[in-house]
This record gives sequence, C-alpha cells and structure tokens, in this order.
Amino acid sequence: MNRLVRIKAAGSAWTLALLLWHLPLAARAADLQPREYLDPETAATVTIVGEPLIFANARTEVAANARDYVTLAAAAVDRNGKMSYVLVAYFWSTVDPRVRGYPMPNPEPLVVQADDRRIELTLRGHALYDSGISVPVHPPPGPAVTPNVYSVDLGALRSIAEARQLSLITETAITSIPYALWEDHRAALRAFVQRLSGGR
Amino acid sequence: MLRSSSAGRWLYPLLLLCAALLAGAPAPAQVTGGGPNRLVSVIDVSEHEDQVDLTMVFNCSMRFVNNLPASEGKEVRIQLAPLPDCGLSPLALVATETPPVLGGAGIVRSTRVEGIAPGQLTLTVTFLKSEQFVIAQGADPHGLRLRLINHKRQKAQVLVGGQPAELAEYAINLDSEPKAFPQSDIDLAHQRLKAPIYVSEATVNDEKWYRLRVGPIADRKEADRLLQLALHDYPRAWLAIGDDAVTTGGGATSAQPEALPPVEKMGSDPPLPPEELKGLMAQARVAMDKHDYKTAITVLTRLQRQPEFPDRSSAQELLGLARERSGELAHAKAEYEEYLRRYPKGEAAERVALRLRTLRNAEARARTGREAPGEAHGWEVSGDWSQLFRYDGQRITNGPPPPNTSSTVPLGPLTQAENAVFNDVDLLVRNRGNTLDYIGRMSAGYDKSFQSSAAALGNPTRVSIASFEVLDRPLGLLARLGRQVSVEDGILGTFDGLFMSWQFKPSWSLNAAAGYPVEQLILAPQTHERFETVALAYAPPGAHWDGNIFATTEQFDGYKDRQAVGFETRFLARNASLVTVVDYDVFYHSLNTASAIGTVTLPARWNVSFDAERRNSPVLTTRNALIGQPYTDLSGPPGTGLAASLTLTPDQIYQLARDRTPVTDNYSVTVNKPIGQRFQFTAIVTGTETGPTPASAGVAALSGTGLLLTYQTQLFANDLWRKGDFNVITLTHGNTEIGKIDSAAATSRFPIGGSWRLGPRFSVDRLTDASTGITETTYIPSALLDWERGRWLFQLDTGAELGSREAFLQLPNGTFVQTQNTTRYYISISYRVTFQ
Repeated sequence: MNRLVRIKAAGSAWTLALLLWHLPLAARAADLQPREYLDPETAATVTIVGEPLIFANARTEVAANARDYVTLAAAAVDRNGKMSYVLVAYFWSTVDPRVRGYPMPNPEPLVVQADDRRIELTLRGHALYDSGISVPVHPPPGPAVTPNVYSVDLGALRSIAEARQLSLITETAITSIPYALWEDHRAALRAFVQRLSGGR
Repeated sequence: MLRSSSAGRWLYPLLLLCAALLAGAPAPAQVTGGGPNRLVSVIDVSEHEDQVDLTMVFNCSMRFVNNLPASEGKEVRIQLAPLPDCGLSPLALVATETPPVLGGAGIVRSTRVEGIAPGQLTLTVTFLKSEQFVIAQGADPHGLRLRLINHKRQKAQVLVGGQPAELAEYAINLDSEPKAFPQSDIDLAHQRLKAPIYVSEATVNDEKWYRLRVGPIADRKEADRLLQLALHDYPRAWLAIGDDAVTTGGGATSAQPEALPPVEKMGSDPPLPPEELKGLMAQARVAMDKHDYKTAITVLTRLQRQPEFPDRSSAQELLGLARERSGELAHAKAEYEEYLRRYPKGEAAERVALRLRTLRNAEARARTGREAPGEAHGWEVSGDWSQLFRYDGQRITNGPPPPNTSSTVPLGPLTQAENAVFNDVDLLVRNRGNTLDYIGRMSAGYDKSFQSSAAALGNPTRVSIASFEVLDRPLGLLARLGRQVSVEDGILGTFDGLFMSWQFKPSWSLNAAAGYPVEQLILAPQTHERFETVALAYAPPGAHWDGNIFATTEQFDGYKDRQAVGFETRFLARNASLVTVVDYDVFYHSLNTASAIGTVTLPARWNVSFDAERRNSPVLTTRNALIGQPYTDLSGPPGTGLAASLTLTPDQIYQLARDRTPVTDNYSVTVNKPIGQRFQFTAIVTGTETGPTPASAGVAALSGTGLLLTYQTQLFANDLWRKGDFNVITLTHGNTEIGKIDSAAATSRFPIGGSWRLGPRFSVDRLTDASTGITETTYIPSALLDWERGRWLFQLDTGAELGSREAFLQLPNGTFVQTQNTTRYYISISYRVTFQ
C-alpha cells in the first residue's frame, strides 16, 4: 500500500511538473499572439503585435555594451470597418547622451531590408492618436520616447515577417546607419499577419 | 468534415432525384396567390472606365429601406420593402432566391435574396474584394442601381502634359535566393500559377540576388489575384511595381527583337518660320482634342520632318499618342522609341518610357512561350446556369364552433400557391480589341409550372436582357442594341431599343436612347408604346461629385404617355455621400420623383443613413388610366379600348391617369454603430404615407393610408459561436395598411463543415387587423442549407408558417367558428453553376 501511495504521489508530482513546465511555454505562446482591444478614446478597434522587433546598432566605440536601438511594432486600426496598418518605431539608446557623438537618426527615411526587398517606410507623423491609438504600443523601457508612425500595408508586414535576413537602415545628416536584428520576434509578426489575413 | 469531392459526388444524384420528383409531382386541387413568383429578375453588371454599375431589376415594385454597410465593404446587404403589387402580406417571410447576375466576373462573388424580417427582403451582394459604393433608386421602383466607385480598370491612357496616373508594370516576386534557381523551380512555379515565370537579378548591398517572378503583368487586378494565389506556396511573395527590366535567366530564352516601322527623318524638310510651326502645333492639338487622329498624324508627321525647334519634343510625343489612339500600335512604339532616342532627358521621357513598356507588355511573349497576362484579346465567354424548384402549399383549418351549437364545420381545402421550376441562363461574350470592344449579353429563363389552375404562371419563356454593344475606346463612343435595362436618364427599366453614349470630353458625355418599353419579359417587343430620351452627364475627374440632366418623352397607344425632365446628382466625400434624383413630368405638371439618399459617418463610428422620397406611385403615365379597368388598351375598339368603350376624350383619359396615381411619401432614418469587432447595432425608423385617389370611370376611390410608422432594431453578430458565422436578431413594431404588426425574428448562418453552411431562422409575428380588431399570431420556423465551392452553389430552403386567428368568425355557410389556423409549408431547392 505504501508503495502504491508513493507511486501515485510520484505520478502526481510528475504531472504537476509537466504542467508547470508547459505553463511558461503556453504563456510564451500567448505572448506571441496579437492583442486586440477597443481603444477607450478613439473607439477604434486596435490590434497590436504580441512582441515588437528590436534592432540594434553596436556603439562599441563608446562602451562595450552600448547600443542604439530601434523598436518596431506593428498595429492595425479598424475604424468603422476601414482597416489601416502602421509600424511604430521608437529610437532609443543606452548610450549616455553626453558621449553620443552623432545625434539619433532621423525618423525619415527609414528602410527595412527584408532579404532583397527594400521597404521604404513613409512617415505619417509622431502622434499615435491621429492613427486611432491612444495607448502607446510596446514603448521601450526608460523615459518616454517619441513614437514615429509609418504607414504600411499587410504585404510589407508579411515580407518582414517571412524574411530570412532582416535589417534596418536609418539616415543621419552625414551617413546611413544599419541596424541588425537584436530581438527576433518575427514569429509574433507572423501571427499578427496571419490573424489579419483571416488565417491565410 | 465533408470534403468538396464527396459533396460533389452525391450532389449529382440529389439533383437527379429532384428531377425525378418533379416529373412525378401531382397537380394540386386549387391555387391561390398573385404577384410574381420571383422578386428579382436580373442583376446586370456594367463595367465602365472607373466605376461599375450593378442595375438590379425587380419583378414588382420595391421600396428601398437601407443598406449596410453604408458605403464600403466586401459585402452589402440591401433591405427592401415589397410594395403591394408584389402580392406579399406584411407578415410574409420571403423565400430565398439566387438572382441571376449578368457580367461582373472578377467583381461580384455571389448574390442572395432572403427574408430576415417580416415583410422585408434582404438582397445581399458579396464582392471579391472590398468596394466603395453608392445606391440610387431611379424614377421607377422596379429598379435600383448600386455603383461601385473608384473601381479602375487598367486602361492605356496618357495625358499629354499631365501625370501618367497608374502607369506601371507589375510582377510577383515569389522568392529570392543568393544563388540561381534551377529550371525545376521555374517549371514548378509555372505549373502552380499557370502564368509566365522569369528570373531577374538584383544587387542589394553589394550582394547579388536571384528573384523568381511571375510577370510582367499590366493589370493591377490580375497582379493582386496572382499574389493571393502565390501566397499559398510562396509565403514570402510580394508585389513588385516597375522595379526591374525583366531579364532572362535559368535557361529560359529571350524574346526576339521587334521590327518597327521607320519614322520620318528629322530635317528632311526645309525649316518653316516659327509662326507657322506654332500654328501647326496648335492645329495638331485641336485635332487631338477632337479625336481627329488622322489629321493630327498628318500635321505632326510634317512637324517631325522639321529640323529641331523648341516644341519638337512635344510634337514627337503627340505623334506617338495619335498613332496609339488610332490603333497603329507598331507605329506608336516606333515614335516613342524615337522620342527616347532623341530626348532621353526630355520632360516627357519618363512617361513615354512607361507608355512604351506598357505597349510592349501588352503584346509580349512570355519566357515559356505563352502570352503574357494582362488585358486579354480575343473572345471571352462567361455566364451561369441555374435552376430553382419551389413547392409552396397552404392549408386553412377551422377550429370548433362556439358552444351550444351542433353544426359541423369543414376543414379548409389545401390551397397551393406555387409548384414550379425556374430555369435561368446568363451569358456574357466579350471581345477586347486594340480600339474596339464588343460585348454580347443575354439573360433568359424558362418557368415550368406544375399547376393546372388558371391562376398558374403558365410556362413562359422570359428574356430579361439580350443585347449587343460596341465600344470605340479612342472615340469614346458606345452603342448598345437589343433588350437592355437602365434606371437612369429617365429610363424606366427594361426596354427594347438602342442606347448610345459619346464621351466627347474627358468630363462630359452625351447619352441617348430610344425604343419600346418592356412591360412583361415574356413578350416580344411591343411597338404600341415607345420612348426617346437624351441626357448630358458631367463627371470631372478627381472631383467628389458628378451629375446628369435628362429629358424624355413616351408615347402609348397613340397618346402622349409621359414627358419629363430631371436630373441626378451624386456627391461623395470621405465621410458622407448624397444621391438625389428628380423627375418632373412637364406634360402632366407633376413631380414624379424627388428623392435623396444619403449617409453620414459621425465620430465614434456612428453612421446615419437617410432616405427621403416623394413619388407618384406608380410613375404617372397615361397608361395608368387602365388601372382598375377591364380594358387592355386606350385606343382599341369598344370592348378592348378604354376610350371607345367609355366614350372618353383624350383630356378625360389624361385625367383618369392622374386619378389612378396616388402620391407616396417615404422617409427612413437608419442609425448604425459597430460595437467592437463582431457586433453591430442598427435602428431604423420608417414613415410611409400614400395619398388617396378619387372615384372615376367606375373605379372606386381609395382612401389615403395616413402616416404609417415602423420601428425596427437589429443586432448583428459575426464570429459569435464559431468563425464565419453570421447572426441577426430583429425586433419590429409598426403600422401597415392592414394593421399593427409586432415581430421578433432570429436568423443565423454558420459553417457546419467544408463548404456547407446552415441557416436556421425563427420568427414570431403578431398582426392586429385595423378594421376588425382580430389578432393573428404566426410562428415561422425555417432553415436554409447551402453549399458553395468554386463555380457551384447549391441551396435547400424549407420552412413553415403556423398562424392562428382568434376571433368570432362567420364562414360562408353561415356557421360560426372561434379560431382559424393557417398552415403553410414550403421547400425550395436550387443550384447555380458559373462558367468562364
């Protein structure tokens, strides 16, 4: 009997361990799924990507782990049945502004290089509200950063999500700066595109 | 889960079984019912330069209630209220129909008529992609027009001195690799997409890429279609616009260089004075404006032989354009190449290069040896065939007699309203040439009735449309001859005759029509009535509005039938639209129609639509004098002719027509608000008032209806229980001509597996008779099962109406009963197959 009880207890523990193991995975899978909500101020139905893409440009000349970052988050806004898509880009950095050297890049032009496809993004403005979004979309950590809102279409988002090689190119007054993919959440962008394509 | 192949396998035996059942169906005892057996005759789709018109023709009069969504969507539901000549009671639930659609391949996916609320029908049009639209109802309530706007067809157009809008070539980039694609990948792509495949190269960031592509494609619509098709096997596919020079690669062969006719040599004529050169240029421009390309070519060729002068580059471009518009494409390409050779950095170099590329692509041979896609040349045939079987039976049973009576009461006889098969065929034949388009249209049907009573519909052959048209694109001239339909320019629906349209300026067009109005589709052209109409339309490019004015005259049986002038305007802004129609009869001095249909989008996603109409109902024509009379015409001999039989003068005939034509005012306001992604709330208030008519010539007076108000709310829900479902709850309270009505209805449609969908419906209606106070309660359960895949559509619709009247009723034999029950049951089976 005692052996039976021990076997049962071991089985229960194992089951519990499996559940606990899969919980983060399930939670992780849920993170990749887009989120949809009714914007309380604009009354638009907003769908945002589960996780944004983050690109980085290493500033090793400043410090070993100093980088300039660009957070790129996709959102879809449904207003009265009319759907529009935007990419929200935040330019932020872990470099001390006093030792930056050159300024942060201009928000325009911003180019996403997806394999051989060069996607030039058109800047719409800096106010998310004008696009129907009153809540910041995946803002970066730290102090508030001005969002840059770009018009995009579902085909371009699909290209970005499916690209084998992905990078970002920004421009300053004197040069263009490539950003490499730092946090790869293309799976989340794929889930976003799939949701908005009706599953196609 | 049903697979399409298994569904298709047992569909054929089911159809055979239906045919066998029809052959053995017994004739019923008695028939009731009036009005047409199908409500929608045909939906005719006409494609124009940058818009598409869907003209919906009804077999009886319909009042437009509203449409949802208001102005844009992939599907539009148009709610209509059948008027008395449709023979439907205010409680009737309309049986499902699949109206025939003529044309519209590549635009309209499907159409459906069904009853969601009592006494109303919903006409649902589903498009292949989201469209922007406006609705207009003309003078006659037998027709309605839905116009798709901003629906550009890719056409060759160059505006000299202007921007080359939408001139680009497309390709679908299926995949990109840093190494060359093997021939097997190219062959596989061609096998999958049935389109020309090529490989181009691009250097990006000093890295060479090989691109597997479909194209070149001249038509944006075709490019979008191929992209959607490609995504299944090539998830990285994207649409490329004019970004490569179509290179060869992967073992494919290159196209042979084309031999073009020679061009005139510059300087081969002695130089002319500058004033004469200016005069010749002006003459050439005038000739181009007048579409006199022969003169333009002569003048411009003379200028081409001149030595260089300031305007010579413009002359060279104009010469290419004149050659192109007169259909001399080889000469046009030669002139464009000459321009690029002489003026590579000229002001028009970019648009000439694009124009040349478009002309080349239109005639290019693909790397695989097949024709390049784009605007097809040669004959195209499309259409559909459908059959609808409907059995509709009704029985009335009488309840027990009052207490203390011993008489027996008979059961009511079975009264069968319909037992027939409706067969329809629609055919569209088109040939698109370099300058001329030819289109043949036919929509016809044959109704086979299995009833033997005199009230049966018989076995008529219907011809809704049978016409042939020619369009000369360079001249902007259209001519259409035959049986056709129109609800604008003062034309009252279907007619046999000629319609012509001439676009003499980019913003202006002149329309004219003449012919014989069609009263019944089963009849050959009736020459005892005829009409002529002329209209002038103005549609400035890029403007938010357009309009037209018209004048029309009709003769019937030797009498002036109608003589009217009017206008129609459409205003479309981002958040609002307004369509107005006015038709005034200058002979009768009567306003036939004044209507305004509009929508406004308010903040927070509120949408308000309104419809305000004042109409003569029916349209005031002299033939209205025959309403209520036992005579068939106005000027026939005694016994058949109204004038001779009642000894009436023409003025008395015209007065009779006025007497038989009441005025109807109709107002409706619809408020609509989406709630989140899946819900939508709608509230509709409708007011209708029909004026009285006096007694005259033996026809009794009709009193006015007074203002009849109806209130309706609807709650729509999509994806409520499962993805792809559609649900609506409708509550109605209103006054009709026969009494007060309260109704609650629930309708649902959801996928049940594969391409099958089930649509259960249930409605409870309560009618309180205005004259007797009797209340009648009716329960209406029904279900619609449909299967749609590819070119096939199958529908099974069955239902019942279970009504009960509680009142002290006297039967014809003198006995009294306290209740009377009405049982109606129906079944409708239909299928449609589309071909192209």
